[in-house]
Amino acid sequence: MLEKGRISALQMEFMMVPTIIATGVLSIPSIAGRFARHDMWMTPIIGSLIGFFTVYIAWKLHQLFPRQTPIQYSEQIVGKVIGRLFSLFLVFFYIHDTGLIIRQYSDFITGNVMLETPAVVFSIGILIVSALAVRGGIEVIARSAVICTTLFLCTSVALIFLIKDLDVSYMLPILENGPLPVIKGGFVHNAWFSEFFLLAFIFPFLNSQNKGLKSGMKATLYVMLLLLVVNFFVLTLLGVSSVNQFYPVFSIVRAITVLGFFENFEIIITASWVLGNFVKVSVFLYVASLGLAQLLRLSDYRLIVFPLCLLLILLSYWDIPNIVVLVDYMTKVQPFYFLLVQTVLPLFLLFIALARKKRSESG
Amino acid sequence: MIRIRRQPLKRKVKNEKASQLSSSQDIPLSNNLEENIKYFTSIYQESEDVIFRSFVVDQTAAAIIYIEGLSDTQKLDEQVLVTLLDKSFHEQDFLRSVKNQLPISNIKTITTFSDCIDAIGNGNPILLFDGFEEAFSLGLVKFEKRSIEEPQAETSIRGPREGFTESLGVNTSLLRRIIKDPALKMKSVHVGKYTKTKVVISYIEGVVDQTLIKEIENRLNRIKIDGVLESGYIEQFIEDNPYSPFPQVLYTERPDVVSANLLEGRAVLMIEGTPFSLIAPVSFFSLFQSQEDYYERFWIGTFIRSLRFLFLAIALFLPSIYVAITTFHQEMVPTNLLISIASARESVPFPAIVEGLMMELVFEALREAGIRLPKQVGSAVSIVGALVIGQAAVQAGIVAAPMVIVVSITGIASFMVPRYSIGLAIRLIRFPIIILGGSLGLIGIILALILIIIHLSTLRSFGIPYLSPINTLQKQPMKDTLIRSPLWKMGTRPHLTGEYNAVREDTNLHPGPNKGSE
Repeated sequence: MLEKGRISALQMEFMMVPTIIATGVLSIPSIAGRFARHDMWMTPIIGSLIGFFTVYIAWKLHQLFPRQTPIQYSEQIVGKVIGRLFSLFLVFFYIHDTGLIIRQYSDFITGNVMLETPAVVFSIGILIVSALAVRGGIEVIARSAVICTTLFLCTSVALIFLIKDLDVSYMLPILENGPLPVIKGGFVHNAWFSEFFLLAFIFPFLNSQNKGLKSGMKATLYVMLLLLVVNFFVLTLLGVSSVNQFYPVFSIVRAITVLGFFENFEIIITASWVLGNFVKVSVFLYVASLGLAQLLRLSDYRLIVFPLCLLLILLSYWDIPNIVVLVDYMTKVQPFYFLLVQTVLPLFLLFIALARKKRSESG
Repeated sequence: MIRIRRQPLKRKVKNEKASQLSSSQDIPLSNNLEENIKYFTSIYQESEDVIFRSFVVDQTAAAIIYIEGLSDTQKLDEQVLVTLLDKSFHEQDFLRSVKNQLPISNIKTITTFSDCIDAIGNGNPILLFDGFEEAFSLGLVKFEKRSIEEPQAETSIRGPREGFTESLGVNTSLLRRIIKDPALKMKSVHVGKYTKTKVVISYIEGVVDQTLIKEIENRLNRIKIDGVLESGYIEQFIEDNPYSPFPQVLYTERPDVVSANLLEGRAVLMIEGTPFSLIAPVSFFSLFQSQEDYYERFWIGTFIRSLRFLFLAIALFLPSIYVAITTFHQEMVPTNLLISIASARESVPFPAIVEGLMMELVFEALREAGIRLPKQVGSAVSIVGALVIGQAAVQAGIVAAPMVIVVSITGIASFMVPRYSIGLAIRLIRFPIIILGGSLGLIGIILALILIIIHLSTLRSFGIPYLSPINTLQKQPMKDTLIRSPLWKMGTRPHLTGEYNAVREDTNLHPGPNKGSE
């Protein structure tokens, strides 16, 4: 076993919620709104279905192969060659995805808060802290995630100060163009909700094995509710025009004033969002480095964390030229690509595993 | 990661030599008094304070050896010598009849030179007779010690006023006076080649996890050092992570704090020669618990505790947040405030980060100077200090008035921490945070916060996670971390490691009228 740590199911929930919403909360209201217009507030409900489904697949696979990660059991399911190819693909997918997250993060900060500091400084900063957490093992990630997530979600209470400005009439008419735009809007959530397949890498390290499914479902539900609230606020404050902005949440946070004295809250919210993003990057980096170490049959995954970080910095700049391409990628490529890798392929794995199990039982 | 393997060869040779030296002294006493005395005089040559007194008891030559000032000479003269010289003893069973007639309660028979040397060093006079291979160590230890006073470093308004002293016997007795049950155990270990300092491991049997005691004993036995002068020496040798700025062992000089921790299943190390006892294992949150949280009503305890955590955040982050906001995020400051800050900073030649670091350094220097200086000079320091980081500095245009306020608030906030050792850690890590805040703004401060969280999550104190129970999410012990719930609600002890005696009190202790008749 590369990882000796054990975490509790509740800690896993604390890890997973920011892992999904940290970047999701930035872009989802904008890109979901492009399809669903004034019905975008309900899109997370549709989108979360894939989340629940992915959690269930990860859980079923984990039940068939307890205490193993997908890298380990894919070989047992589809044979050595195809299994290792699949693992290689999965690991590279997560490395690539981590690079994208880093890029989104540093683009957001340099584009909105720290306008004159080069983006690479922030990429290096978040990667160093995440790498330190990953080197501490899953226990350290989980324990720091508990505090970081709490602080991250606490600041979202500031949204209360916006209630006086809400205009619910922006939501009307409900379902004007039928359900299809909502389903389309829900589909872009797939990129985020299918990331719940990360649970397949975390389930093996739970200390009470039977609580995994329930906690995974709970985490999906929390993510759905949070996105629902955020979409609701964005829609009722900005109306349909929110789709023209890259970061509509940032715009509504800017509008917060307290007692007419405290204004321009966005930096504090951004700072707390960094906490959530740290959890996200740590979980992804952990999965990428653990997966790579298991794929290469290394004796310790801690060795490759820092080298991987170097690669990630390069990858985050090499892949995407600018934010327009990034948003385009998130709208048109990600929902299909992420769904394919993290939900459809594992589903095939599950089918093959179940069929094999049945055949060995009958034969 | 390539690790250079250290060659253990050299060290081994040294260790062998050391063990040879100590084992050579472990030879039995001879039955010839002359020979024994010769041996002791050779050991204690050029030691004027060691007193040899030879005399004859009932035709048997005898000698008493002790160190002046460590033993009760009056009792030795009036009780031991008088008895020995006046009375006559049984010839066949000489030693036993001597032992029976000496008016001392604590007499031990010892047979080796090393035991004799230990006894003399501890202040027990030894009594040797010609023709016997045994000696008596007489329990007549008496040395000058400080009387029990109110602890200087941990005062409290409500609560016992007794504090530990430098004498180990007094400290253990103070503890025994609070916890009378025989389950209170005191094991002793000697540490230090020259100081031979006695370290007492104290715990309550049945409440503490026995593996913890074994672990502590192992760690203590590993210490091979020439001397132990203070509990800090022990602390730094038994820590889990020696590079961390955070204390992983709590120290206190209050018997009530020690007892409370014993009752929660922790172990306490009491060290000879210092009023400070060490408590292990501890978590980050036990460093923010003060004894008075429990003595006062729980609302007050909860309020003061949350205040402490608020001021912990202020002590850590306020100067860096000020630097970050004035350097990067001016738009965050409300306009009126911004104008007054800007006008105050107008004449200041330094950037905010330099100003902040400078002021914090001066403040730390003043604080340190105030502690070390003799009391007569201390007042001069405070007068000069008030000028340096006060009005004069502002008028001279070297620092801005807001910075002075920030530094003062930070100073007050860092005094809010009830345990001095964690306060030191906060003072230390404040400086890197100012630098990060000055270079990366609030994002840098958040990165620093994440680093602190990661470090604290990695840290363990004798096996328990340092940030437990908050980030291990145990429900029961959380009642005594950020808040202090009512005593009648804290029914279970915190679960540290391993064996666990959960029940601390009866359920249904909720007080109220007509409860007694039920």
